[in-house]
Amino acid sequence: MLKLIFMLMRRKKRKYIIVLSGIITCALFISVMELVYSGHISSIIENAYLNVGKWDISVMVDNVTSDPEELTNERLLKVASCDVTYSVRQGKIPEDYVPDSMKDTFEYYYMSLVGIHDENDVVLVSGLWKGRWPESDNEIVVPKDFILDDGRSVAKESIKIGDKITIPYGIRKDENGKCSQDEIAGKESFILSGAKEYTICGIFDYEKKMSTQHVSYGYCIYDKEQKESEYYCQKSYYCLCDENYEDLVNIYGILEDSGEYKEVKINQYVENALKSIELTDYLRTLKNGIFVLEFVLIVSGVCVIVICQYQNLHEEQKQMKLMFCVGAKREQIYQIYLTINFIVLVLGYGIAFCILIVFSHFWGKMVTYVSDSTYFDTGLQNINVTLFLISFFIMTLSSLIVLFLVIKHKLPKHESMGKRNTYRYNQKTLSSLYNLAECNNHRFSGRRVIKTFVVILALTVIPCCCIIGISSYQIAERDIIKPGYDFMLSKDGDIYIESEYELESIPEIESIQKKAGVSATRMILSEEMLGKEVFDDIKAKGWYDSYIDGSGNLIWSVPIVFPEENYYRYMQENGGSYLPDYETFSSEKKSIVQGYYHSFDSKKYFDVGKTIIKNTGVMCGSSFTNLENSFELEVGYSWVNIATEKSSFDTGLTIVIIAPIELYYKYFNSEDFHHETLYKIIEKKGTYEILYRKLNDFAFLNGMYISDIHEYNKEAQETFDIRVVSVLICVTVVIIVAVILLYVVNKLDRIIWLPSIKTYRNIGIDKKTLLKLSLLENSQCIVDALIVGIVMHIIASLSFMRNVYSFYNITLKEMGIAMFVTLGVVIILTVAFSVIHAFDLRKQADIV
Amino acid sequence: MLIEAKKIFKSFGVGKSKVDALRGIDLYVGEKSFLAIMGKSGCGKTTLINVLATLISPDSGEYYFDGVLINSCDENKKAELKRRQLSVIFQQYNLIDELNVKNNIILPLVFDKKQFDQSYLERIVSDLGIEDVLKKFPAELSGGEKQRVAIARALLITPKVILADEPTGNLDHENAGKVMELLRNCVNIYGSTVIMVTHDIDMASYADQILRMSDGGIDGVR
Repeated sequence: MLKLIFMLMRRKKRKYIIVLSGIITCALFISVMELVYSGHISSIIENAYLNVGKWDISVMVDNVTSDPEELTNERLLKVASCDVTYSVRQGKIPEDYVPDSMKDTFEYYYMSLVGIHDENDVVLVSGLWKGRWPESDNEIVVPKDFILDDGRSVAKESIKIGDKITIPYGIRKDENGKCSQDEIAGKESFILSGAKEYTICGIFDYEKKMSTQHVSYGYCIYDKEQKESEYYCQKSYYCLCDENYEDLVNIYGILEDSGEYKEVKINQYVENALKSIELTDYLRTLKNGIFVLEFVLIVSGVCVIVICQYQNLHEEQKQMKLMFCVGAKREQIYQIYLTINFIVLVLGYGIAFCILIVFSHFWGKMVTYVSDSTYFDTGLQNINVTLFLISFFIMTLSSLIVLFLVIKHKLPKHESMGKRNTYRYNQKTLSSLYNLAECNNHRFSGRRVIKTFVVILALTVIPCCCIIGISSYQIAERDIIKPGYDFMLSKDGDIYIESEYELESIPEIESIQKKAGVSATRMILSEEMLGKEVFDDIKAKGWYDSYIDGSGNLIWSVPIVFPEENYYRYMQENGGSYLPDYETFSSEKKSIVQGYYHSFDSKKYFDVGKTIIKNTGVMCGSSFTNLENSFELEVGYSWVNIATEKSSFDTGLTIVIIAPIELYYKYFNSEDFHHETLYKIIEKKGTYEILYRKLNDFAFLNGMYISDIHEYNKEAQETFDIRVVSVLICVTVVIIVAVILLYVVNKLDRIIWLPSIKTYRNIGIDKKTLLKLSLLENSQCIVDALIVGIVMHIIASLSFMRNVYSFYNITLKEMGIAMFVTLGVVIILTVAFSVIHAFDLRKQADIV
Repeated sequence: MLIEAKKIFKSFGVGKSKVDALRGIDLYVGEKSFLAIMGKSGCGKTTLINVLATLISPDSGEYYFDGVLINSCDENKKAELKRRQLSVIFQQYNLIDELNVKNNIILPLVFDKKQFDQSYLERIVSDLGIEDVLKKFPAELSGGEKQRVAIARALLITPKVILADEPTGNLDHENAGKVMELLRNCVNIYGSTVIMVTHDIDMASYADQILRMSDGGIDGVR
């Protein structure tokens, strides 16, 4: 029987090669999608780590620990460049440490030991070096090279298990003594209420490469009635640095001066975690999208194979009937055709796998070459074998089942053998031709389905690939830092223009003024600018400012933080003499600066905030000081020393913010994303604290060197190149696949058409009419496909692709354009193939 | 009797389009006989052959083949009958294009999972004059050769009955004559019974008996 099967296949090898190419294409398409895009997603995840830090932060409330986030892959952890948090113990707060007045209010807390890294390129690897993790309430583990000695000094060599350590703690309360804050005014205070002695039961080790290591001990006290506010109801906080004495002084200075303060860092990590979760949601959406895409591809593959085989069977029907006539059992006929199908599938997948290995090898090589890293393996590791096998089994099983049903349906009654297809063809009008085409499409419904399906596939897959590709491009582009600003606000509220960056004319400056919504402009002039023609105009307009002080420092930026009146008063009272006099601001300026910080509940927040950030390139306010009756944002200014290229900052208020917008993108992905998130949280929680945390995120930029930026630029450019290549390859693969599928369909179409040509010719249809008929048939399929494809695409856009669009700020208009372009490409391709097919048939008609 | 068909009715379609193809046919055919069935187009000849070949089932009536009531046989039994005792020859030859002549001939034995007798095959192809075309494919044969291949395929299983549906319909007179002689030999030499449908009185003259049909009934036997 097997011999018979091979003989049958051998004589129709051309046809089976076409089917085989369809199977190979589908199998390859599925795997290449996975291969290319899984790398893409991994890359995004990698960025997620770089951007938002570690993911597995856990919080315990009522002895229930929230699930740690996923993605604790060790390799990824090592490349994470910032913020790693270790929660080492948690438990119920000892009653002795809760003030009597608050015992009824507070019950739970957790204590965490937090390892913090603010710097780039820090590799942090942790593990228990000695001892064990804490098991009771009075135990704690500490880092190997760090120990808190009475809260005042660092004694690196003195750590040993069994030592005692005293950790102070406190409680934050609002005016009413509750663990919360006034949502409107943020009124609250933090009381250092006591200290507790702990026994060191273990020492953990971590490798560090940068100088600054913060380790903080924090308590979190939860309000019984406000369990959900755990993030905000913190805590006593001590922090010191083991190698940076200056920081240590600063921090202790705060503690000594105020005696009470709010913990910031832990919140920051919580916020990072929240951000991570948001990003995780997006990534999951993206993964789901790709999963759906792969599922669609598998289903497509099944359909293509089934329909190909169905069309084959249509041709083989006579053969089947004949076998039946010469005494073949039904089972034998099933056996023959199902075996043929299985062989073709195995062959197709086998060939696809071989091609995939080669492709994967070269893909890995290429990525490795471009990225100069070993991020991608070369070879089998890149191939998702499970997915490959699953697709094979699904295709095999479903196609065998469907074929079985088709054969069952087609297996003959003898009388059907004598039937002839009859055609009603009276005149060559378009309507009669249309009807004939409709009749043919109905008669060969399998062919119609496959054509429709291919076009739908193209309509669905191409835009998805393009969108993911475009998004890669956008992300990569954002990663590229181009140092410098267009212009910025000065300390007195006027606009300053950094002359180094492409300012050539007064109209240009005026347009910037217009954009910023201000009328005055002051230039920060560099020496290079002095010789330029525009300089005279600037001087004439009185925009020249004396910020070049001849000290060798080029002023890089001037801060622009104007929070509220109390703040200015406070700053002036405390030596902030360089600050602008808020009272002298014009109402317009006041409106701008106040709007930025006070219009949280309105759209104005976005507009004004975005304008300032965008136009200044400076995100202001990096930290905050807790005042008695208010809160304040800190400000500072910074410059770049030309000689050292190192950014410096005024330490009068401890923190300086220098944030080129591109760096902002680097760490927060997108301005809108950041603002929107911020706005949502503020709107939801009604607290300013989150805003503080957001702003505080910029603190890490303090030590940024220009050379770091250049270095990062280089890396970002490489990443960008990789992604552009990825996108090109993906889109190319998609187009090639679409073309191959259309080719396969048309070839199969020809097989079906050929026997009919003779009949058509016999009943008097001329070649021209035959051409029209063919085009009409295809146009009906295309119309079907377009309708279904557009509906599918809209559904996809509104469902699982929605988050993707939203994440990348893809507007409806852009989506519409993408759809339009895709439709155009698909229609042109389909029509082109239809025309080729039609002319091919006409040629065949000549032969007939 | 080798074949006994009693009161065979068969109709196609429903309602106004219903056509009674066979109206109570009674047919008895003995061993080693050659029966020709003649009649106008649409009189039910092919339907009768198809019923006898078990390719379709009658609506009513009884059909005995070698004493076995075929009506009650399942599909596998009918398939076995076709593989071992009953062969059909079609006007359109019905050879499988993907198989060469030899494989077409031995096809029933492949399905029967039997080895063919090489000497018997050689004898048949020699008698039919197709020994030179065994490796050729149907597309490379003339009409007469194709029909001889179909006859060879029918003969290889040494059937008790050969049913031929206008076997000479597509052949010229000379080739038709040769095919008829071969069918005659099937009876005379190989001992089969042949029931043949034909329009051609000349071809029918090779038969022992001629059965005339009209409107689904039998007009007479000569």
